[in-house]
Amino acid sequence: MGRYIVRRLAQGLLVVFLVTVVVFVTTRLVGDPVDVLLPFEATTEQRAEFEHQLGLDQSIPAQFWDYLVGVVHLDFGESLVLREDAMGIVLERLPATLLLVAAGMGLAFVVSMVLGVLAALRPGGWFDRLAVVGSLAALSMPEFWVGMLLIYVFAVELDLLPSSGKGGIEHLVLPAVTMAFATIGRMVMIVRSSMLDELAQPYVQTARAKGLSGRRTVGIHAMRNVSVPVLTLFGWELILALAGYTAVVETVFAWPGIGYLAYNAIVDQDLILLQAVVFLVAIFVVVINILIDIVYRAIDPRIQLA
Amino acid sequence: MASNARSAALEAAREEELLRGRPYAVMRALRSTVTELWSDKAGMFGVFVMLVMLVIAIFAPLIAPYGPDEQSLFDRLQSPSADHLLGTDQLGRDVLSRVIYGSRVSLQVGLAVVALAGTFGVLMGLVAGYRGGRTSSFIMRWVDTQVAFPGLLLALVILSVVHPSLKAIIIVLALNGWMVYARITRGIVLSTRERPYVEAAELAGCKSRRVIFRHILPNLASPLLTLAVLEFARMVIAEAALSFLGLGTQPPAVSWGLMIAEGRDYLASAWWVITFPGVALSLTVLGANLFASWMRITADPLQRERRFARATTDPSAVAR
Repeated sequence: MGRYIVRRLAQGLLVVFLVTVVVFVTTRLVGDPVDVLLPFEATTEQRAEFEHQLGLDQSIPAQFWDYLVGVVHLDFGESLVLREDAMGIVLERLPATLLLVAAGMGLAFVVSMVLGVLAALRPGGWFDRLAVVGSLAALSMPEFWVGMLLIYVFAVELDLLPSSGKGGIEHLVLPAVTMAFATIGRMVMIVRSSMLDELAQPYVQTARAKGLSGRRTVGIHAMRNVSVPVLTLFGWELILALAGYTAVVETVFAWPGIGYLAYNAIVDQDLILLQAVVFLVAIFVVVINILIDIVYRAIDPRIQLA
Repeated sequence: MASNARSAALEAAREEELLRGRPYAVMRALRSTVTELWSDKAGMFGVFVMLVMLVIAIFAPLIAPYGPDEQSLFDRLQSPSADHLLGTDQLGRDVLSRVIYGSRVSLQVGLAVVALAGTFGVLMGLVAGYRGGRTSSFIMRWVDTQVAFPGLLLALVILSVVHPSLKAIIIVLALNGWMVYARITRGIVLSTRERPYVEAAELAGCKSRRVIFRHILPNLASPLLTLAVLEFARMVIAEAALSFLGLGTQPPAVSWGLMIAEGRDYLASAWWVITFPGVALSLTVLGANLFASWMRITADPLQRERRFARATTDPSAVAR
């Protein structure tokens, strides 16, 4: 177990390293950063000074070394627009994103477990059909569109909830539901099908035959085995939420987290800020990946970590 | 009498020999596919939607009532009417026409990415599965490393440096999407490699290229097709999300994601500007998903048997 974790951590470090390399290569070599970062009408002197400031007048290996040293110290330099330490800004915005992801994914988990199990208990029944059709529709809709429709219905037409920004719990409702929407669609499918598989197993029939109540059989025996594939998908959904949906959902709702920050960095061409966001997300993704594998082991001792 | 029966049997055999020619086999396969499809309404719906989208994309100029950039500032943000069936946007452009033209970008990106990522991924998977050893472990490490980091953020970085042309979008999405194909291909290759017919081919002295393409690849056809359709759906959404964030299709080109992004500021007064491109997007993705799930069952003989058995014992199950 200990050796496994060490190996996974090493792999994780490799992933983070490769991400920083790719980011370095794309921002320094593919495009000319001065062209990208400075306004079109900048003078030659301004350009030279800017190059010096970023260390672009050094050789590529020297630049790369400086960049790596900076990354290790979590120092990405100053944001080009906000004129503050880039990592500082990102860390300041992080709690808002974590709150949104926790709310959205928590909602998705609870709802899809309930819907999926209820659908599996009566396969082919009206509820099952409704759940399958509903989740297929849900997973086919892009999040940003769902978010805007929700804004239109609940903020514009009904005037029940605020359409954007962060504040009380009422500000969290629409972004969290938007974030949960497609995930619920995918999770219900998996919960339902793995529950159906499990309920057909001989041990479930034995438990029933011995007179165990249906609730106990489903709740304790089957649920334990269902949780493995479900958690696999959920871990992946969590990663997707952090590394993908946040950018889109936060942008729709102007939610002040790192996803909205990334969007603004793109709009303002603030590559340094964008690098800091990408680096932090990369670390989160690697850590979640390792945690998922460890949780597996705790649930299902049959899984060998190799 | 006996000779008569024998000649009749010979006749029948000859007839069958004639019928076994290609056109007949193709016709029969086609006919059974169509009946299979009819028996599964959801799959039929999926195919129908995909075909309609394809026709719309190809014949967009003939179908669209207006040009995609035809502005009319007097008709800004008009609600749906007889002149403009789906209303007009903030520049007075016809939403219906733009939705029709927008299908082109979505289908182009989806098909191109699937072709590019699929070819590369399948090749890598074939090599990894067939060669084994160091080549395999190198390729699979590479896949693991890339899978460990969802590429959307890296795509954002790359596209914010490179100008997001259609070509750049396709390449960046393909770079993020090839790993699934490699994994599935390798898995199937590993399991078919041990089959007697592959060993026989190897013993008979077939070159590895022949073994791979003639004996192993056909096993991959149905799972890969299913995967390709699912990936198509995913890529259509990815392109829309990139365009929404301003890193995908750039104006004056039209894409559904871009239309939704542009209509955002007018949401309170003109719901139709964002609603209809979103409906088109969701329908396309839904169609692809339904088609893929139908194909997964139909392409697998075991599943097909099960469905047939269910249908014969319980007529209501056909609808499911």
